Amino acid sequence: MRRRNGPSDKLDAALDGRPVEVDDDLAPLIETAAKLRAALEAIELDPETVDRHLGMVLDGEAKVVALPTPPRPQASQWRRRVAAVALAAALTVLPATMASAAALPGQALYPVKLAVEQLRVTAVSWSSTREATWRIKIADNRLDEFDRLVQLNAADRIPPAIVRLTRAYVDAQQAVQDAVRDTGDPSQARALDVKLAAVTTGSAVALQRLQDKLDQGMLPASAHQAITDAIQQAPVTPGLVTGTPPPTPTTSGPTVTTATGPQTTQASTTTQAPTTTTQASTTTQASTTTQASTTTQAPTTTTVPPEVSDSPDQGGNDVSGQGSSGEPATTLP
Amino acid sequence: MLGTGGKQEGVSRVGLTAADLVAARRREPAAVTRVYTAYAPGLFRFFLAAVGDRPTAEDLTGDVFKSAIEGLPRFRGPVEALGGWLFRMAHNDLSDFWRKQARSPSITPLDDLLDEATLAAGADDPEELAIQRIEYDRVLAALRQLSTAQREVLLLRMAAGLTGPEVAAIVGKTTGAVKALRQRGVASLARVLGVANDTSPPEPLSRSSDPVRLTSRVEEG
Repeated sequence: MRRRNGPSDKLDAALDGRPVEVDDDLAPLIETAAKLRAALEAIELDPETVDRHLGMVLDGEAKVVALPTPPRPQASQWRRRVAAVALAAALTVLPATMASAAALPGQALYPVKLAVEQLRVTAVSWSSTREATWRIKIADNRLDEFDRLVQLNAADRIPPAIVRLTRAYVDAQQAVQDAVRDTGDPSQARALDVKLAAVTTGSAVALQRLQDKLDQGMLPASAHQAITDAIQQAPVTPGLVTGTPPPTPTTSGPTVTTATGPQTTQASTTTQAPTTTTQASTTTQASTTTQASTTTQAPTTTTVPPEVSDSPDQGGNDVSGQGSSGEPATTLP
Repeated sequence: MLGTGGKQEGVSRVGLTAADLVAARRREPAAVTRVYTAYAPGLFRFFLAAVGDRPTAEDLTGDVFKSAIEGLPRFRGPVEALGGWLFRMAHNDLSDFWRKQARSPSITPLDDLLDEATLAAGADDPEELAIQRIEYDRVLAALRQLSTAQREVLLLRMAAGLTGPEVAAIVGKTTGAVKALRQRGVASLARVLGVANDTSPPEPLSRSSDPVRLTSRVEEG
């Protein structure tokens, strides 16, 4: 009959990292096992090695999914077309793991990109400051993907891209808050805030660009509703910046009467290119109707939309759920 | 039988599914990446703790991963058995490594082992890091003083996370023998680290190209 809870079983439990009741005889062995476990857990693969290993297997194997072509190429879009062609060419000649950095949702290498990102977060998770920095970088990656999909008029991939951006942005916000709380260092907090603000501003600009395309009918009508819904769940409002103090309302500014109206209507009246926070807070520009309306919306949209939690990705075979809400497939054991 | 420790049918302990396995056989990047993220960290810990040289451990890890993906079409077991299969390859590769080392010995000091690892991770607290590094170095150096069998059994359990029967199948011993090896390994490690209850002084660490055996007992299964 197997003896239970003997020294042997207790040591086994300790080797597995399970809590055990320790007596004097066993204490040194338990302590030793704990030391060994800690030393082993400190060993991590570095991201460059991960890239290299995955490249050994994936290079030359991965299929490249064709990028959507903008339906109405215009002279002003030449540079975008060139960039898209260059990207497609790069994807065919670069090693897979290098090319994955430029992968878009729906492309074969996109899951590799997400997995490498997650490994990098794991590698720095011991430092809340570094984790926050990486999560901001990931949010910036999601923003870049979203922006490129908008440029490519990839209507069907835009809503999930906004969902991913939202999730990454909220993760980054949370990581920044954690880092500020953990370190208590004002200079680090400011540095993180500046980085996050850049993503915030970029998101506002990209969303405004998308809104303009919707208004100009450059995207299929069938996609309008899904895109509009996604915009309303976005971390920032098109052309606006959240997370910064709202601009001071000017006395000469028009009375805001459209605060409850659809955001799309308001945004569509903007004729200037949406840019940065500084514009929104400039008194002289705030005298225009569109700028004035921004003052009512700015502080509203930094919560997690409930819809983003577990929605399957619509972008093809990518691994959804990057960031802290990552699925088992992208987390380390 | 390997891999009986899976808690859910068709899902490995590290969260891989049968569908992942099928897709990885087809070399779908997402599935291959899942297999890598599931097992590569454990493989790397296993190799680095055993050989004490980061580049070597990285190469061994990459080789096993590549061989595994290439050999997946021949792997017929359930997904729960994948870990055991991978670490059997790792065990064989490590044995080959030691054989080559015995023919042309060259040892790499452990001093920079974790330094490189933590530098790679971007450490920013040098003092705390240095203290931890010294302790981790000491533990891993002590681990390398154990017999090959003791060390490997400990690593397969603690770095790879395999069950007793899985470890036994890989090293070709009975589960009882594996358990005994593990316990003797921890006891030897405790003596070297100076945490044992007995009054005998810890044996000094040596830097020999040949893995030093602390125990002269025959460790047969």
